[in-house]
Amino acid sequence: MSDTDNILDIQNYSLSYASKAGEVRILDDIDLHIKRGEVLGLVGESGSAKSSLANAIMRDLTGKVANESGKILLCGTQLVGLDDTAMQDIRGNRIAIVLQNASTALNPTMTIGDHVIETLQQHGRDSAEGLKSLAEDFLNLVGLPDPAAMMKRYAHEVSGGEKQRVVLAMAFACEPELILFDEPTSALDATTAATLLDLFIALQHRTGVSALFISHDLGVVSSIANSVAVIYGGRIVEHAASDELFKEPRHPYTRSLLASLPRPSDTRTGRQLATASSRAAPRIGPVPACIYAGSCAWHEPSVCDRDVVRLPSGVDHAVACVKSVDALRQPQLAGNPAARVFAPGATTDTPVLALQSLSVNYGRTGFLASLRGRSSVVHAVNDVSLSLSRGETLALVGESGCGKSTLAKTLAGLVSFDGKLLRSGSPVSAIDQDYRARVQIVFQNPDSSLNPRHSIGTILKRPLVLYRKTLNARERDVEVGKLLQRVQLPEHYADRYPHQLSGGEKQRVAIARALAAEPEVIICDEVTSGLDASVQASITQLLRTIQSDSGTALIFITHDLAILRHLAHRVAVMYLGELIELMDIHELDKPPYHPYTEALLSSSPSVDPLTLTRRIRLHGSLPKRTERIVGCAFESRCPHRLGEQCATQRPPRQSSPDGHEIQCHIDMQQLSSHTPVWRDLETRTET
Amino acid sequence: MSLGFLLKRLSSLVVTALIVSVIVFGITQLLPANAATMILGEYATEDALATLNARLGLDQPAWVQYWHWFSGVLHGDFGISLRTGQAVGPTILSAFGNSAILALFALLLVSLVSIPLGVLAAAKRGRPADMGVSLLSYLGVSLPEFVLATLLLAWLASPAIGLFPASGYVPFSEDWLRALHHIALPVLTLTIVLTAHVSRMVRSEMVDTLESDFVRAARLRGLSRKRVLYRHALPNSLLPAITVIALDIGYLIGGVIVVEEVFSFPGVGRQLILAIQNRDLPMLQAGALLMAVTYAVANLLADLAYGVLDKRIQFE
Amino acid sequence: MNGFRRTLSALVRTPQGAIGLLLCLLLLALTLFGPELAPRDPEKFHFTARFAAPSAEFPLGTDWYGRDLLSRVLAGSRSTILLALLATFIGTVAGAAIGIVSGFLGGRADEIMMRLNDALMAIPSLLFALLILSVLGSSSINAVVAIGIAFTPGMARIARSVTLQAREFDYVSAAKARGEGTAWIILAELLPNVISPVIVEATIRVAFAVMTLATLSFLGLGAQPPSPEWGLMIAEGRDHMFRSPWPILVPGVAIALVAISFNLLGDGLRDALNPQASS
Repeated sequence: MSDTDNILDIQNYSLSYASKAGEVRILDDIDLHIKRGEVLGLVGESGSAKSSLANAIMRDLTGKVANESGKILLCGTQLVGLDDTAMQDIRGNRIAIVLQNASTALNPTMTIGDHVIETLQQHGRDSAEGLKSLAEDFLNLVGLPDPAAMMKRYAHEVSGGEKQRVVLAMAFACEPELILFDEPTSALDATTAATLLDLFIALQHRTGVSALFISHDLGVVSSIANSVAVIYGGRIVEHAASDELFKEPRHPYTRSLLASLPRPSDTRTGRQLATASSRAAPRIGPVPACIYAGSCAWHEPSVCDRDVVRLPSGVDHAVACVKSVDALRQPQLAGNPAARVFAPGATTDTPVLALQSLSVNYGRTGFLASLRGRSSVVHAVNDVSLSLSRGETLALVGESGCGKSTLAKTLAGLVSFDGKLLRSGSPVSAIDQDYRARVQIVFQNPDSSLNPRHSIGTILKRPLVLYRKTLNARERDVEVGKLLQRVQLPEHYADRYPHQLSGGEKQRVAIARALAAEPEVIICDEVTSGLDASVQASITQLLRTIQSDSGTALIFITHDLAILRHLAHRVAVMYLGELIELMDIHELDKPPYHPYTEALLSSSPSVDPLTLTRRIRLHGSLPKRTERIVGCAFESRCPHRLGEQCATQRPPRQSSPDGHEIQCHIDMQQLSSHTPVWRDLETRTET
Repeated sequence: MSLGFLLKRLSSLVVTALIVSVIVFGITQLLPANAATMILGEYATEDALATLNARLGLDQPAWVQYWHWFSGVLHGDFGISLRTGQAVGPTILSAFGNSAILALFALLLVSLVSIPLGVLAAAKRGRPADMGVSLLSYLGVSLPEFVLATLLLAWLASPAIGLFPASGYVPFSEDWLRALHHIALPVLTLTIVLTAHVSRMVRSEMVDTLESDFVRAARLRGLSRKRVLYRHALPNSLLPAITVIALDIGYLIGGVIVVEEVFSFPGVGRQLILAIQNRDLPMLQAGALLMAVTYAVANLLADLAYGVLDKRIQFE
Repeated sequence: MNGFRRTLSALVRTPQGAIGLLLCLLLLALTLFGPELAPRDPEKFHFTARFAAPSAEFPLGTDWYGRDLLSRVLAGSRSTILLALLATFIGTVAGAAIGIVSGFLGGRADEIMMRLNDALMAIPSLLFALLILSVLGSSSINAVVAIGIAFTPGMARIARSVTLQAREFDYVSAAKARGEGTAWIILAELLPNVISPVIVEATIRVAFAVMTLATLSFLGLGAQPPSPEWGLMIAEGRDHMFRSPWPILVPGVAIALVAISFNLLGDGLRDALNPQASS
């Protein structure tokens, strides 16, 4: 089996750490190999130990090792058992690693140039022109403009995307045989991540380096990997060529993972998201025969538990499951349209909430700063007008810093604003208790929004005490039980504390807290980001159920466009504090788009065998947030920039008869003629 | 570091000094016995007291008195000592010079010893060297200066051993060797206590830095252990260490007061204790103000050093 | 109570925590029963046994009047430890209240309060205590008040910085968005999350209070003779230090032991309450 073509060969590798509770299995019986020039994607949800594999290859084990066995071979050299000194020649030289958070990966007291130079120097690289020019070459290679100037800068002086490029330059600097990517784009915005992925693909083609690409994002992996391994509970459950695996997933776990991922084609096919999430795999105690047994719908003890289920070797599409492919055919989900049609006026004509020219400015200019003509006022939200009808879901999308969360906080009464705010047609002069009861907010991270010192019961009772004053103590207890039921949690959770709940359960509690006030509007600020796909799908489902039961209007804020089709009626796109586009959800699939929306849609990778995504990448830099923008905010990065007018004149707001609004100098008619972002791969066969 | 940063820090020093002067003046105003009673004794007549009060300006409102005192201080006039009847200024300034010698020697030794100790402990975390340093520093931070000083005195200055003089002071201008001999024990006391504290801080800063992402990233680029330690971890731990040392000057000043008392060393601390014991108001005010301002200046210097060294502080 | 038990079990798992807790419990017992445990009358003179070295009769030796040092140290434990706890309590409660309110209010109010606080912190705490004592006059209880006040600015700064961190959490935003009153937000949302770092700091400060209290007595500004206060015992023993080291050594070691115990307990608590370590 020892193929000389294999750069990396992992054989029967197992690792466990010692803990207070006993031995914890981290990685179990891993068999993987990466050929020369191959990019292997490793996908798994949180807690699957996917990063631990990269750490094991790097010999940088984070816990106290209880047991370690098997082989990790780099071109035939066994790495397991090598000490730190021996690994020095391998790390950075033969295997490089790109870590998730580039913002903390650079030493704040050293220049970027010194970082690259010391790496080259350590591994004995040099060139005729000297180390400095060699380092500049590598900065040039990763597409950093003006490498000579970049060499002298410090980490805090460059943007997040640039930092990740520097890290990439260091990874390629010693021409390693293998590069490990540990969630390299997860901390970046979609449009930035997309350009970085393109860069990596180009560099990989040029150098022929092998790579292990670890990510929780199947869309990203599908766009970059030749083959994909799926990891669950520290075991590889499926390994196949990328196309093959995404087109025809076989392991029940892989299937459920893919079934919960939204696709661009969902609107057409009416596909629904699976909401059944997999339980965490057992890590302590006896080794189960099949690691997925606890969550598997097809689990039959007599068949599945006879022997340890291993990943077969020597086959192209390896599945760690004893059942035949046919036995696992999924029952098809009901095919009703996924995209939501909302008929305004069906319930009420008065918008439940309306914003007229709403602006939010942060910060003040200090005395010294004003003397030097510097302003530190940030225009977080600029002249936004919107309305929200009863029972409607309005999605607010945009990248970090676009002002969407500020807008959410403003509507929740946490930030003061200029402009007009109307509730059910009457102007809101002050954010009072009545307004607060009607407009509730759910925050992104329940670890932050639920006070760790309060029990779930206490958390849910507070809004009852504040808004539903007629209830007595016993009625409140009953109501808490009802609220937990509505978010599909058991009633006895009232006695628990947040840290005893899973991430998805915590977010359900946060939603229940918002429901307690019986609000007309719930603002959901990135409530599904940070959750695994299946949990995200079930939270989305829950929000839909709540909306259809109570007619609550939702403002759903997200940076993830894929999920919109399963939730939103209308989409509002924000860029640098401005509302640049407002459209109906089914206009998402066809032009016209604002040029930014177009790029944003194109940048969000998805696993969809039915759709081809057109590539649009953004270049150029964002203006400073303290600058007052005269023209169009997107002008500096726009691929369709018309000319001077974009920089000097405020773009007009154009609207079509069906309520589609675009703020752009380019005529809407012309925008309509752009090629759609998504191309349907099976149009002919379907119709 | 920008000019704005410098101006901002300097103005904050001035504000701090002003507030401190008000506090020092305010507290001493609350003293039960007033100056006139001090001078004339407890059996003075009402008339005599009133006359003297008027002469000293003590019958005026507090803010007027403050202004008299403060404008005097600005001109270097700290008033007349109620105990000795001599000008406070020259006395306190010469005492301050003596104290500064103690403090500076101690500070120098502390910096030389504690940073390597802290780095060593962090680099050998969990190993015997670390345990040893931790144990010693626990002892050091738990021993008040006066106990250590008294024990050192009882041991090294005892007639049987007689390595050092038990008390007193010789100016450096007179005989620098004997001067060193005299300050050895006080400086040793201050150094031991402060080293324990600072090396603990340096160790914990260093441990945090060693666990940070960029140090891990450096290690995973195959950089040598030495380079990771000295080029990546150390510079990033030294910056906070500067602040720690500056804050510890507060402890140092407290230590100086105690040590001067134990070794009968003629510094500000001893003047201060004498002033408190004798209710010598002007001396008390001068000593306290001088010490507080010294501390504030030390913190300012640390901030400026931080600003110069840390590339991230370019503005505000 | 759940959280308390968890903290306790995490505490005894760290070596410093386990030793510190044990020592502190022992000291607490000493404080409560110390004077009763004393084998002899601490004030009784034994002129035949002046400057005695430790022996079966006088386990820790005697002083210049032939008083039993063990009995004197035990008798002094109550005043030293209890008063140090009291001083720390004053400083902690006052400092935490100022720090939490200032951190919660933010903006101008915070700026003014912290500027004043920083100015107070610019006075080294021993000097501050001396200044206060010069007003109040020398006595044990005045020394306690002085230390309590001198500790307040430092504690306020710590409580404020923890509050600023806690304030960033969305549970505070959620409470504001819900329309909760200031009292609820400070007492129910912030306080439970701010309290543990404050307790850690307070524990370490007990060690500091013991040392400062002894220092003040040593300087003649705290306890007055013939009290068996430890700092005072050392001050008095200085006159005879070349004849016998025991009258200095015994209370000196006692002070160091108490300080070490609270330092260990504080460090153990810090590790036990550290959210990163517990996960």
